[in-house]
Amino acid sequence: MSSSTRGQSLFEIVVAVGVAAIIIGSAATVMVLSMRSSEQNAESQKGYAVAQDILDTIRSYAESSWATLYNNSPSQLGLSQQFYLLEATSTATSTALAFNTGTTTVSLSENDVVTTYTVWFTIANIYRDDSNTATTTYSPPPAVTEDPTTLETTAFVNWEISGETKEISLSQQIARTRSDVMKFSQWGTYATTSGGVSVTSEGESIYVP
Amino acid sequence: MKRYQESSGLRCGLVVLGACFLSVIVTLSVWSGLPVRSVGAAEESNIDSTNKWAWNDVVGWIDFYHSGDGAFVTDEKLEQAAVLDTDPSNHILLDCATTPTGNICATSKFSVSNYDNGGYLAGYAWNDDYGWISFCGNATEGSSQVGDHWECPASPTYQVYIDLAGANPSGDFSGYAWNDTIGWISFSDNDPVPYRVQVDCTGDICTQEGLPGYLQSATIDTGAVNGFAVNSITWKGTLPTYTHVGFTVAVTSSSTPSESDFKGENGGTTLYETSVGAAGVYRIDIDAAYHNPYKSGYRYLTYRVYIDNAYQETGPVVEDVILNWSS
Repeated sequence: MSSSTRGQSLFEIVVAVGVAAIIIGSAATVMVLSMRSSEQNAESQKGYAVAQDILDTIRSYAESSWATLYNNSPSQLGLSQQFYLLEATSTATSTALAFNTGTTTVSLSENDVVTTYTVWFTIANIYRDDSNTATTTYSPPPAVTEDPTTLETTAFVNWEISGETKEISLSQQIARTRSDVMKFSQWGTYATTSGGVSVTSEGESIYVP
Repeated sequence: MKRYQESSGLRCGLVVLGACFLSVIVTLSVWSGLPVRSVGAAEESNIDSTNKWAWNDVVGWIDFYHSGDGAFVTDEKLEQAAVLDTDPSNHILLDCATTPTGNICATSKFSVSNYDNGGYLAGYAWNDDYGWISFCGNATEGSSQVGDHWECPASPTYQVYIDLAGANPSGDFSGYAWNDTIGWISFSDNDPVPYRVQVDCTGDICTQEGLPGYLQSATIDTGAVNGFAVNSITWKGTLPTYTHVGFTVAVTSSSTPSESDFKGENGGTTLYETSVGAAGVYRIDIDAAYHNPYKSGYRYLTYRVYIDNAYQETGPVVEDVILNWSS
């Protein structure tokens, strides 16, 4: 019987098992990390979806209640605060939103895993320079002038995962697009003049005789 | 006799005392810097030290500030002199009474009038190399002297103007002067580079009192119970050169605005004004932040339109006013 047909020695078996353990261990680590990363990505994607939903809700709220948003901006309050919108009443055709100060939570579940997101948004004023360029950076007039018809809102979403706190934010500028126009082509008895300015006899033009 | 001697001595004493008093006054005035103007001593120029250049294609840049001893604009005329940048000893004399060498009016009487501080210059300046420089005229005639000032001919085709009055006077010179040898002298342009001559409006030479009156509109109830923001005023009409149309706006919680409710630029009294428009339509952006934006109850809007004909034969005419706001 030659030495090559005698079978493996104990030493060879131990080495083989060791190599296999190392390979299996590495693979398992990679798989665990991959699963965790996938889980984190899923949480982040859901977080971004929540943030986008907040911005959409703000845009909708601004259509009906722009004055509330503007009057809670830093230029009016004197400070930047956290806010959230909450459904107050709902019917089949409409939903009324309530404007609140502070933060609230949103819970989402997937595969029996519930993630709780803490959400809020902030409001920043928009300032414009002579060339009408928008900025959130304040400078004393006349360098910039506040534009009350434009605001920047930022949605924040914050959650815990694997003992760590994650936070994302999304910003958008919203403008008050609903405008009214009034044209004066006649100046009648309700208009008053002073200091040499006159209105033509038909009331159609203003001039200095 | 004794009485006469006593009286004579008293008179002598009074004369000496008077002379002493006069010498003290003169000494004090000199020491305290009172305006005792000596021959050839220049008034500090009130031309801006940066925007001081006029241009001529032959002689090049003309400096109206020149280290502080250049031109001086008063509410009656231009005084002192400008200098050629290529030869600072070569002066353009603006007023015979205030040349760098003193009063030469006995030899040659000339000046450039700023009659009634309207900013419309007329008359002549002098340069030893090139002769008379006319600040207003047409193809056939120049300025003519009327009383103590110069006036343009009836239909001038060129004139130098300073924006001294109106809603927002800039102090900028504009237009052309003419010399038979060197041709046009331009006071503001962008060729070969942006330049202009500008009087310093922080002094009292510029006035904002040139607006003779206004029309106050009826008060509009916008119906915006939570307030609104004024975006713009657009007006249609005619705006002849040099004339002004300006606006103020009142956003109030009462349908009867008070005088202090009407505000212009930056919430102050300076009118919203534009001098740029196409086809007689002029749009003015309003700084809504200064007009109670989105303030509960502030639903009423009133405007005033100011018209200044700036001494022109034909003044502005406003035909339409269009208000735009966001509620």
